[in-house]
Amino acid sequence: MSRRVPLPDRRPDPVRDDGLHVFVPALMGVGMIVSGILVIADWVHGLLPNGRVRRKQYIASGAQGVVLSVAQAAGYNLEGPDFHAREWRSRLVYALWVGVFTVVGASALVVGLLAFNDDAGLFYRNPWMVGLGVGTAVVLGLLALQLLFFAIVHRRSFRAAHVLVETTWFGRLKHPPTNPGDFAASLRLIERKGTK
Amino acid sequence: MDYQFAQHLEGHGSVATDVGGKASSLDRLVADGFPVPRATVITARAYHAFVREAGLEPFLKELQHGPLPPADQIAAEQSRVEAEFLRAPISPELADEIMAVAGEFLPAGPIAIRSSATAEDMVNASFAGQYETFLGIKTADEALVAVRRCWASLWSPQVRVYRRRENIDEDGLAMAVIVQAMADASWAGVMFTRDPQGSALDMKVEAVPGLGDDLVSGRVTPHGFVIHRSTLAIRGRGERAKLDFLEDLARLGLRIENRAGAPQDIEWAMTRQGLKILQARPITVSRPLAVHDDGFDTRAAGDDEYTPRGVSEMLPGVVSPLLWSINAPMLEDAFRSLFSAIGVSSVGAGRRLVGRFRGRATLNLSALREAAASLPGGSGEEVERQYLGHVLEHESDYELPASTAGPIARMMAAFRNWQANRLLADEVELIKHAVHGVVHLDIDLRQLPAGRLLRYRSRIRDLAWRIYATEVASSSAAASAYRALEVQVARWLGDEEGVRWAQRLTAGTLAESSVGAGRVNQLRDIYDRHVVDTPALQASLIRGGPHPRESIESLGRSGLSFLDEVDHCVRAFGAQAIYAGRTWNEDMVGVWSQLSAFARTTERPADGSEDSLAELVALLKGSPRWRFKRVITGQLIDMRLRMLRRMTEEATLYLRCREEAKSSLLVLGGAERRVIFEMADRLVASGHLAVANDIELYSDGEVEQMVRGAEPVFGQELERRRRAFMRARDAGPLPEVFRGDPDTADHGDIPTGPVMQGWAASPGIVRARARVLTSLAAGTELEPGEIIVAHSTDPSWTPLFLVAGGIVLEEGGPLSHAAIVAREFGLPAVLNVSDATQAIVTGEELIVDGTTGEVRRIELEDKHE
Repeated sequence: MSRRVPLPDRRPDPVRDDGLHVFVPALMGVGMIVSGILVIADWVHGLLPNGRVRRKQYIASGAQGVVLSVAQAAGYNLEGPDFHAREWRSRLVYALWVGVFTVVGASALVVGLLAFNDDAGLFYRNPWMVGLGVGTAVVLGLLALQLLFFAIVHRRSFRAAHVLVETTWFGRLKHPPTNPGDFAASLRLIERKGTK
Repeated sequence: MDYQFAQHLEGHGSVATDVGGKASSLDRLVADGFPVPRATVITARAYHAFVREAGLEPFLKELQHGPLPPADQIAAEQSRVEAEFLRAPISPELADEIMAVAGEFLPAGPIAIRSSATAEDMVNASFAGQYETFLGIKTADEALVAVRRCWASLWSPQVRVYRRRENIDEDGLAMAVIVQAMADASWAGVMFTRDPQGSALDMKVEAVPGLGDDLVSGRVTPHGFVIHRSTLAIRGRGERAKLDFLEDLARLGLRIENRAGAPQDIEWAMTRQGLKILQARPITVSRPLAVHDDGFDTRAAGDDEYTPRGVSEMLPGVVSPLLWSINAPMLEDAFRSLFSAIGVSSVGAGRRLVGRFRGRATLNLSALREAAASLPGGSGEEVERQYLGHVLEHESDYELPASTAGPIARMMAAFRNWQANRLLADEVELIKHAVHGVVHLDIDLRQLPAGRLLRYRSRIRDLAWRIYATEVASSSAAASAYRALEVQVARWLGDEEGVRWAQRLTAGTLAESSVGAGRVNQLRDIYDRHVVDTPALQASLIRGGPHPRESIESLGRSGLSFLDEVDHCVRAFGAQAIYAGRTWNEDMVGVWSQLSAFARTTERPADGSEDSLAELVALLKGSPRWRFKRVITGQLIDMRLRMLRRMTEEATLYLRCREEAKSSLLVLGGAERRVIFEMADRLVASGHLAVANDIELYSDGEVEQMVRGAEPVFGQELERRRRAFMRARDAGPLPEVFRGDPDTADHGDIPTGPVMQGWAASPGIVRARARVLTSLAAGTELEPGEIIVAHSTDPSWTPLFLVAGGIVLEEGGPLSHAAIVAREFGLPAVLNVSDATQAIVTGEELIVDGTTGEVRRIELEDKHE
């Protein structure tokens, strides 16, 4: 009578198999890298401004153009806000910028002078370093002065300052109306001369 | 100078038996003030006198009754006839008179001698190109010979063949001859005011430099142009810049057609003095009109299949000529823009994508299938699923087109799609703002002169074109995002669950944006402020049925202030269901039924929104297979969930874009409707229209011409359109899919079983009585909680959804308006139930299962058991 001898299991061991030894960690590694990148991308995306105001401006001014063309076809004109205008930032923001520019300008000057006098350094007695440091400090200093002026005088400033704020980054983007109803209410039909 | 045998064409009403068909029609054009070159006719009397005096009668009798020559003898036979006419003696009086007529024109340059037979330019037989014309005649003697050859051409063998084929009596036939100064044409050609081979909405113009005889004789290939009859938009090849008069020519052609009362085949020339009409005759190769056709239906060319599904929500019901001519070009263009944006612009070339049959709008399903299949990853099957809600059963030898593109091509296509879609949300916002701005202008149209009124309408229409394009692009984006979501969930939970979860994930998130929902909320606010605490108002709304106004007015101040606010609110709603169509304030039945629904139901409609995504995430996270894959692929954060969330956001975003674009289009449609009313009032005042409502029977282009002062389409044509329109309204809906003539399509048997299967559009189960509705107006009979059974719905039906307990429709797909609103209100809905309105009767008890797509008929089930 024969005895049944169990045959050895020749199937590959999923854990000890050499191929899987390489494949599983590789797959996991790629997954970790990709998801790590996604985490960082999410974090960076959260920090960056999302351009919402600019988008609203594009929408409002585009729509204003359409409404204007309709009004003009009927012989009228349209009066409405300038949706690309900027407005004054708060005094606090200007004051903070004064601090930042002063610190950065002073640091640039100090770093430039230290590099110029460091006999072991790469830029020893290199006049460009002093020039760069002084130049940066002067530009940022002037900006700081301008911002200080804005922080103190603010909206009571003279006309040129208003123009500067309304047309450059010294002012912040104005939020156009988000609601279509408010947008429509901001427009006014006026008669064109000689059309009636 | 007075002649015995000749007559000047001065618009005094020359009859065809005297001057021939062509000259008679030119005389009418002169009478109507159209630019026709000066002409004199050698009358039919001259011909008769010549034949009699020359003794040609026996010869002509022989030709009339003898056999026709064989094909190889035609040239010889023609020479023989011509020789007889040239050889025959002519009386000196007649010859002198012919030469005197020619002498009148010759000092100014060469002349043209044209035939004008008494059997010519007939309604059924134009004899185009059959008779002789002689150009560049420089002397009176040459003119005399040319006139005799013209007379001879009356008996040429080709003409005799034509006459016998058309069964035209040859007794008493005569030939008059037109003598005209040659037009110093820079361009000349022919124009068909209705394209005989193409669309009924187009005109066709062929042009050649110089004289048009080269074109007529086929010696040169002409520049061809197709001009839209309503918009006068010009398409075609050739030197467009040099042909800057095409639009004027088209207007002239349409005016001639209006006067004649039938589409015209016009020969024209552009001279130094401007456009001249050389000839105008009815087009005789027009296709026969079907019984229901009002002249605006599409002639189905080739083997294309059409379906009303998908488009019947945009252009519901029988679309009047006016609304069709306004909306169809915009919708057609929107599809073409979409095709162009995704890189399949070649598919629709030379084919109509949007058609009209029995007055109802349809889509060219074959072209859409091909467009989908030419997109990497796309297929005809997906198109059927999107538009029909299911895949059709095709014959065994038919294979649905499908893309065979590889993964790289798919990625490129996905990128192109992304590019095309990324600015959709901004575009929709811009459109919403612009439409609000335009409506807010509230310009007094009565003060505008005609030209300015038309310009104003044209600017509004520009915006409408833009919105149509956005709506179609959003629909397409929504469909592909929705399908991607279904497939993604199906990978983990199976196909059925994929369908169910895609519905749930996109339900409720559209609140306020779907067409109708915003309107419901506005009316609800008014209702809450005025009616909730006023039982008398509530009672008036319930008892007043579709017309409670008088009853409300009788309540005094509270009633009047309520009415004021409702009227003010409704004015801004715009069109009910179709751009420039009937507005909410024009027909307030829908508004009253909505307000009455608030009074009859104490509960607000259920909000379908819930945190479905969180539920799905919990379900997926609980699956060991899901967790294992996350670990094995080393996902620090679960990328599949991020993808799912993003897909849900995308599907919802595009669905919202589509609904908002549609909503804006309807609101803007109200502004265009005001212009239509204003034009109708003016046309009634000027006597062009008998009643303002008749304006619906004219095309957009015809209305514009009438506003500019042209004569209206004649009464007979208008009556034909009216009758066809009424017949189309009485006819039932179109079959789901058909080829050629919808009347010949197989409708199948009406189902008689206890269970009807459809497409599960909105989850939930309801047991209630059925209410079969054939129109919105019938909706006032709907009792709270009843199940609506209808062919299809459009945005104007939203009020009824407030009262209904469930929805069963014969039409509709996953993204149809009914499906979206039903999910938003949490109503069980089953769509695509074949012949539901015919099988189910009002009052019958049903169980509607919006999760499985089953509609169970209780009484039949009991009988079966």
